[in-house]
Parts: sequence; structure tokens; C-alpha cells
Amino acid sequence: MLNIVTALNSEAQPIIEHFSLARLQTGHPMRVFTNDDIRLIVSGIGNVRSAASVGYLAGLDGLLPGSPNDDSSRQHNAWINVGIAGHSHAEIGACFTADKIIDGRSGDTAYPSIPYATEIPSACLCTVERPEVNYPDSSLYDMEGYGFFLAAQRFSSVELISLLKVVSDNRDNHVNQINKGFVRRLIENAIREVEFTLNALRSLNAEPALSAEHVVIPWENMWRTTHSQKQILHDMHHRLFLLNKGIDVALLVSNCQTAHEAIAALNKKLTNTQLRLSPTP
Amino acid sequence: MIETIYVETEMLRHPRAERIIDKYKRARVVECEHYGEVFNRKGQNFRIQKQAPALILAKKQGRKLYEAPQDHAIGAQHNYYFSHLLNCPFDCRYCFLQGKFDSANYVLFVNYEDFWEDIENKLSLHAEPVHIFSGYDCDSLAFEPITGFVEWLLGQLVPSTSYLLELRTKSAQIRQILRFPPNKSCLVAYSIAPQAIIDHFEHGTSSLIERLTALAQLQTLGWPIGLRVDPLIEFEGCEQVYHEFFKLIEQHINLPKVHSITLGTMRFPTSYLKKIRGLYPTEPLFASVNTLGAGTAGYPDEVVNGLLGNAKRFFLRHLDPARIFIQNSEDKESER
Repeated sequence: MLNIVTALNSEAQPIIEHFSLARLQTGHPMRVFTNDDIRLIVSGIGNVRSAASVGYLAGLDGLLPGSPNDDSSRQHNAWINVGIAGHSHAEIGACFTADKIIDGRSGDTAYPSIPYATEIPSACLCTVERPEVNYPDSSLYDMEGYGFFLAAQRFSSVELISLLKVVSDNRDNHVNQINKGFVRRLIENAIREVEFTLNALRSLNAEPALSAEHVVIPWENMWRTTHSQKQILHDMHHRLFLLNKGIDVALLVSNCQTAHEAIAALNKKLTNTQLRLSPTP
Repeated sequence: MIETIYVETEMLRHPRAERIIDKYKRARVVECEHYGEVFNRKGQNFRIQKQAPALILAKKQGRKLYEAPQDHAIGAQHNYYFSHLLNCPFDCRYCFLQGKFDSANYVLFVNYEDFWEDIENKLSLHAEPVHIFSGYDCDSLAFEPITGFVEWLLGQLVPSTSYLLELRTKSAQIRQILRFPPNKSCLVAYSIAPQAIIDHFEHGTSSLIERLTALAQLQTLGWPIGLRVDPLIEFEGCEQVYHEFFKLIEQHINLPKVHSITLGTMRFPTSYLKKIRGLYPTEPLFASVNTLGAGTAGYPDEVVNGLLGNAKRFFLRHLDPARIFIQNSEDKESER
């Protein structure tokens, strides 16, 4: 699932229209739009609102933050924050991916990955609490990026989190000139970059999936089975399947009277089953 | 192709960092305070990063040289290793680095001189010969066109009987080595495997013939060479495949003149294996590997004995048993 977080309705509208997203109607306290593989939420302005919206979207999936270092349990949803930002001198409408994020209040930093080839230039993004009108350096300035990133990191690996910013104001074009129609046009004009980034994240996220032939056996229905035995049987079944998809594991254990016997039978089979190298990899 | 280069602020103006950044004109350059901010971030996915790793240019602080496990020795009492580079451009499916590191990005420590200083200090402590291993957390040669490390190192290595430095690689890229006269203190060791294993599991590496040709060329010129037949992998028909592999080695290499042979079967610390299986849940290579207790995973004893015995018998026909080393303990988790 690709999750998009925008701060403003006017940022969201061109994306909703382009990807034909429909609003989730039933009792949601936040504005959420969705189709088969994209969800969009309008967070409101600021770090806290953006982070809360990430949590809300993740909650819709029934996700809980996995152990941060445990890849096997890490969820594979992708996240993208699309929105406007200020910049000292970049052209209005210029589009950037954030390669570093600085929290303007604490000075803390975070580093989003960009593990795909892209023509979209990248820049440092500084997230501030109030609109930046002095643009002290050549960073982008927004009001959500840092909060969004920290929250999204709780639910997905960093490679699947991206921030796409469209320049809305600079030293020659004051932030006060921004209005809804203007923001909408900026995002409309950046829709190609939004689509490119979504596709890049989608392709990165192609997780190697087990073949549909690999059926899960309900071990606990066959014998009295402890949780640990169930895990061991599941692991052995999986390994046997990888070594030889033709092995009928249910038949192998059909004469076993206990889970313990079944483990011994699968272990013996595993010991006697060698890896096969396909003729051409 | 490197798309992103992270560089520590302190190293931004380091001539070596500048030269490398200059080579990648199209790469985005991102400044960071310490390489760990990027390399040790929480929640990274090694498999995804491996598709387009970034390069991190950093300064190695503190200790540069670490004691190598005694069972990794190839004849010396004192053994050390260093890692000027973390990670490798090759993509070997069995590589333990996938379990050791959370990131597939490359970290290059550009303060080469500090590594050499630590090596010299360590050498001064021992009267007996010392062996120093490069290529523990990387491939010693694969990144040479970018790092220039080996070329720099060979400029420092005065031939001596007091030490031997091992470069370990799967790359046939030896141009930089050939610019130097043979050096008795520099052992070039190749990890080798049957071509079928290379095709299936050692993505991006030089072919077996290329590696053997490079070894033969170095040997003819007078460089000490080593063969690292590790990991030996069990598969259907492996006896015949390894038989042909050994014949090929025999044809290319003057085996009695080889400095050392090391042998090992596929094995992992269990924590690494768990992580690698999570990254590649559909990979059959790891299916025959069992948890063996004491934090290790590998083949059952009978498989280990079969693979090692077969290989050892072959090499014993050609060289002194004192130069054949069985290194079958799991790679230890870093002491750092």
C-alpha cells in the first residue's frame, strides 16, 4: 500500500483526482481517500498533525510498530509526503526530493534514502514551526516533513519513505501570496513527479513472495501442539518447500502420533533433501 | 552507479573525499556529522538498499586494527584485521555482511594513513611474524578503481619477514597490483567456488576462470597467493561439480607454491541467518542450514565432514598439510 500524506486540501485535490481516489465515508475523524493501492490523508499543518496522520493511516491497516531492527516483522507499506515548501532562490514550481531533514526547533537530523535513480533533484529540508521568510540557507523550508518522517519510520523501512516538495515561495515571491488555487496548480504541475516517486517506491517494495503452492498446514488441528512446536513445524515445512516444491509434507507426517514425532520426521527428510541448482539461474 | 554520496562534515575537504566526489559528478552529495547517522539508522532494509547502495565517506575514529579470531589464522600466532571499507559491490547471497550490517551502503574510511599508523604500532609490539587481514568486511579489490586503497597500501608495504598482509577478493581486477613489483609481504587471496555456485549465488563477481587466471598471473610474477575455498556448499551433484572444480584449479595454479589454502562450509551466527532468511524468504540456499546450538547455524556434521574431507584430500595431494587450514567456526560477531 502506498500512503500519501498532505497537509492541505489544496495539495491533496490534484492527487485525489489524478489517481481517482474516493473518500472513506464511515465515521473517520480525518479526511482519508483511497483506491486499490493508494491511500491519502489530509493532515493539517505542522509536525504533530502530520505524525498523527501517519499513525492514523497505519492504524487503518491494523499495523503495530514492529521491532525497529527486525526486518522480518517490518511492514512494507510505502509513505510519501507531498507538499509545498519555501526556498531562498529555487524557481516557483521546482520539485525536490528531501535527502536530509533538519528539525528547525531541536536541530536534530534525519536522512531519508533515495535508493532509486531519479531525475528529480534533491535538497535538504528544514522543518520549522512558523513559515520561514528569511530563507537563511539553501534548504527547503516546510512545516511537516520531520514529524512525518519520524512517524513513518515507525511503520516502514526508511527506503520506503519519501518527501516530495514543490517550491511555493522564495525571496522574490513572498509566502503571503500563496492561496488555495495557487497551491493546487503547483501540485497539478508536479503530478508527474508524484507518480514517478510512487512507482519507484512501488517497485522497491516488490517483496519476494512465496509461491501460492505453499499452503499453510494447521498443525494445531493435527496434534496437541505447543506454540514453539508449531513454529518449528512451520519453519521445517517452509524449508522443505523451498528445497523441493513437490514434497507432500502432510503425507510425510500422516502416521505421526504427536507433534514431536512429526518434527523428527520432517527433520529426517530435511537432512536427506539436497539443494537443487536450476540449470540457468 | 553511485547516486548518493554522504560525507562527514570533517572529511568534506579531505583530498581523497574530494577526488571521489569528483568522480561521481551526477551523484547528490549529502553532508552528515557522523557516518553512523546514516549507516546505523534504525529500520533499514538491506535487500532494498542493495539495489542502489549509497557511498558514505567517513573518518575512522579510535581503533583501526582488531584481533582476528584465532581460528581464522593461516600460520601466524598474532593475527589482526582492519576494515577501511564496510560492504561490497558484489551481491553474494550467502554473505554474512547481510546479517551483520543493517545497511547495504558502502562506508569508506578515507583516512588511510591512520590505518597504517595503527598497523605499524601493532607490528612494533611483536617479535614473531604478524598476519594482517583486509577484506573481512569488504572485498579488498572490488572497489579499487574508486578507493585507490590497495595502490596506496602497496606504496607503504616494505617487504619484510615480520608481517604478511592479506588482500582477499573475488575480483579479477588486479591492474593496480601489477603496477608494483611482487611483494613477499602481500598475500593476494582469492575466494573461489565452482562456476555453478558463482552463477547462482555470487552475483556481480568475476568468473572462476577470470579469478584463476588472475591468480596464475600473480603467482608467475612472484606474488604470494592464497586460495579460499569457502563456503563449500552442498547441492545435488556437488561431488562431480567439485571434482571438476578441483581439476580446473590444478590446471591453472602451481599448487605446491601456494602460500595457504583455507576451507570452510557454509555457516552463520544464528542471529545473522535469521536476518538473512527474513530478507530472502524464498531463497532455497539457506533451507538446508540448521541451527546447531551455541549461536551457530550450518550443515549437519556428516555434510560438513563430507565436503571438507573431499576438498582436503584433493589439496593434500599437492601441498604440505601445514598450509591447509580448516576455518569452520562461524564468523564471529564484530568485537567493535
